[in-house]
Amino acid sequence: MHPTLYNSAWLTPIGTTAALWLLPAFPVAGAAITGFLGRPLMRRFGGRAVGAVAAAAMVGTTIAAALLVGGSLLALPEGGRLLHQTVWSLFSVGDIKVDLGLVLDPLSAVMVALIAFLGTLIHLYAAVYMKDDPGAPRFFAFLNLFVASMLVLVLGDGFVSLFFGWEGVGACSYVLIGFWYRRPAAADAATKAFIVNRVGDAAFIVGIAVLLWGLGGVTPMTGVAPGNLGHVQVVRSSPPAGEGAEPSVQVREKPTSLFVGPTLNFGELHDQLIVQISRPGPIDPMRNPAVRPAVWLLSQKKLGGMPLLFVVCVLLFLGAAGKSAQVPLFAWLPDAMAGPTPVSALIHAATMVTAGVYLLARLSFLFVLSPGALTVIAVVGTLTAVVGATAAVAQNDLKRALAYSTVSQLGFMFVGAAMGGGAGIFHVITHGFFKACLFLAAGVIIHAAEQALPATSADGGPVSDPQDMRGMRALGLGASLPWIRRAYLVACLALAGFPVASGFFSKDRIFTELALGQGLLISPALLLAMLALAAFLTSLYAFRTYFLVFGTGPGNAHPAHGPGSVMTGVVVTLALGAIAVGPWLGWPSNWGNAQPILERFLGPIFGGNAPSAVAAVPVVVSARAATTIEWGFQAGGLLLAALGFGVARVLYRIPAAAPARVSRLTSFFASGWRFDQVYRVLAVRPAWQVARLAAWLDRGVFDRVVDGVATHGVQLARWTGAFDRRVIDAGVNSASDAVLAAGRGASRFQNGRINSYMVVIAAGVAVLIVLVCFLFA
Amino acid sequence: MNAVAPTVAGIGLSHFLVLAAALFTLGLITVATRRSAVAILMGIELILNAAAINFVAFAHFSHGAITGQVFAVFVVVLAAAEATVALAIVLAVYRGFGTIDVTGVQSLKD
Repeated sequence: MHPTLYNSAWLTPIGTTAALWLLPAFPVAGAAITGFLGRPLMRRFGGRAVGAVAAAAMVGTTIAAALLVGGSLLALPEGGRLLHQTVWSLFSVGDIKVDLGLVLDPLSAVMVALIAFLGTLIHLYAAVYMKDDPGAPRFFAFLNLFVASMLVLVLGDGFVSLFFGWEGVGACSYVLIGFWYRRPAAADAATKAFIVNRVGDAAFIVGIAVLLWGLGGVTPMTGVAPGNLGHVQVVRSSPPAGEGAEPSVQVREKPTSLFVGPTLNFGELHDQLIVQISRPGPIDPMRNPAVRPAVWLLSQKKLGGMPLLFVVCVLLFLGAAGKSAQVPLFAWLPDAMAGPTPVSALIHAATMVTAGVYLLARLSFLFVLSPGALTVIAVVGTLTAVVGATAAVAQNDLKRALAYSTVSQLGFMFVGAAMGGGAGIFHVITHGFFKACLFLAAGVIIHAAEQALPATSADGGPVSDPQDMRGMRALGLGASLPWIRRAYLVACLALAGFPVASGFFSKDRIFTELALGQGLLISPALLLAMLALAAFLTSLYAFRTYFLVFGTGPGNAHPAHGPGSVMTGVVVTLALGAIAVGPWLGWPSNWGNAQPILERFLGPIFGGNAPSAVAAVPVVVSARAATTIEWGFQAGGLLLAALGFGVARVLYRIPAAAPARVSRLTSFFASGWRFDQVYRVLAVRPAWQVARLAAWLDRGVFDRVVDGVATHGVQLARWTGAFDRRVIDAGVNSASDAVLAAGRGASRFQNGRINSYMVVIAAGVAVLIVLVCFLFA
Repeated sequence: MNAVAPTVAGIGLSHFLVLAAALFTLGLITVATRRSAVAILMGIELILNAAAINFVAFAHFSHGAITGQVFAVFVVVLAAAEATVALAIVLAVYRGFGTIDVTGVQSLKD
């Protein structure tokens, strides 16, 4: 029986070429204008003009994205949706040809749409928010450059393009966190973010290298005609010349071979790993090695005693964890709030920190091959969700509370991404809306608090920090910022997971996929319980911030100056999005008997990861059971959200007397589980000690050696100088003096007087005559 | 004493030689001491004449042939030619330097 190709439905479509470079080109042009011409622009038209240029670039990107996604991509048949463009060839070494290529497939399209839409709104907000800052040109240049990098990141067709964007967003993030670089806190936070990200990036690079090293090989497969399977070549191979020793291998027809080569291209990598021949069956290489040849080749390799696939996946996950602030590497994100608020909203809540989730989603076909790595990711994500949520509950600084909330939500996303489905990406989208809304509202709130605070601190109150929520109740912000308050409430409902607001749907998908998934090595029950705790805490801290900020208080005589219509409009638009996006993209199938739009749209990306295609023996959960489970989680999610709301209402609605002493547990949570202290002991202090040792070594040993060499050199030079003067110069000088004296003596005859010449001649002749006549005769 | 070499009042070859030597010395002293180029030329004339006297005297007292006299005539001609050229040079020197003082005619020595 001839083997047949299976799984071809999930091969990457070949797609059509499109002008994808337009997407990042707009913000790059915006960055060039605001960066190079920003100062004259600002001098002539004011800071608002610089922001307007940046926002206009974002509008251009949004239009281009709408045309490309809505016009070109959706016009293609489902399953064949892929646009690509090779911008230029970078290099080719051996078999590896590296192009800077862009790809727009459903996953990229979702991210591009999110980035373009949120980016435009946040740029509009920032154009007003930053208009009076003297550094506005720098701010908008880097904000635009960030969007361009982020677009390259999600559009990249391989590790190289992705890495360009990856490092680009990291660099822009560094610059923008340290935007107010004269504040030590901002400069330190920028450095911290950069260094922590570097740890992740180092693992990421090593992961790519190990993967590249591990790929490669040729597996014979009879019966498949030569040609291209997606992006994989099946070639007719000549039998190896030197290996004809075993006659049984010789077959009459030339075998075809699946060419599996080292590649940095996602499409090629995906197709190499997804190609499956013969009947569907377990991928366990021990039991069924020939089913997925490339996977079989890869799973044969080991690195340091561990399966190569596991090592690669964990390294890539570490890279994602650094960028997305997962548990070991999350400490930079709360500090990153030292940047301007639009930066916090765009970079450190809505887009950049989700790059790790995007990476996991993009490489989900690779991650599902390593259940061990998936387990690591799910466990780390769960821990992050719990750590972030507990820390968020204990914060008093509004922006830090939101930052820890982001950490916690990123944990949820990682759990979703670890399940190989679209739940993580769904949560990225919904979270992007409600968290951007919360941050931008926080920007308005802090601004208003700054203006209102001097009046209160005159009473001798201890409050002086405009970001401290404990002092906000007294400012009566709820009355002076009515629309901001409503938008904030809506975003909190979405964050907490109340039904019909978007967070409910995405969080529910994560719970359901975790419960139904079979990719993990451990039972998901414990993870589910911890995530449920995190979900309850999410609701608690969301409404805690709401009640603390807008809660009823004595009110303020001076109503705070309200934000402009643009800023309010942006915040309200995001709040509307926070409601609408979830139901629109993810209306659950148990509610409407239809597959959710997003799940269907992303089907070609994640379909190949489904248990039926991957798992050894798929545990078929009946549709009825699945529906029951989903109902259960929906009810549970509502219950947890309501519980969190109730507790927050009881505890924080009415101003409580400040506790005399902060409990140890609270301060433990507030410090982010003391990770900073751990790093101080484990990393910062040793680094300082190494630096001090190096400085001591430098001063005490190297400098001394160098100084000694220099001193002795000077002494030696003195000696040789003396020798030179006294011996060599003296000899040379005396020789020249002798010649000079001889010349002087001889020149006395050459006195220019012809008479004396005559006498000398005569005397000479006389001497000659005497000699000739008397001596030599 | 030779028949073809009549002596007059006991005057012999040595008298001529002494006369020529005296004349030569006077010429040499003139050349060595005088500054004027014309005077030096005069000194040279004296030296040449001393040589001519020697020629005639040796010819007269040795073999009686006229070879010496012929050489004396040559010397006279030579002296005339020499004077012509030398005076032309002196004239040129005078034009160039404005003097015929040989100590002032110096352009090679600084």
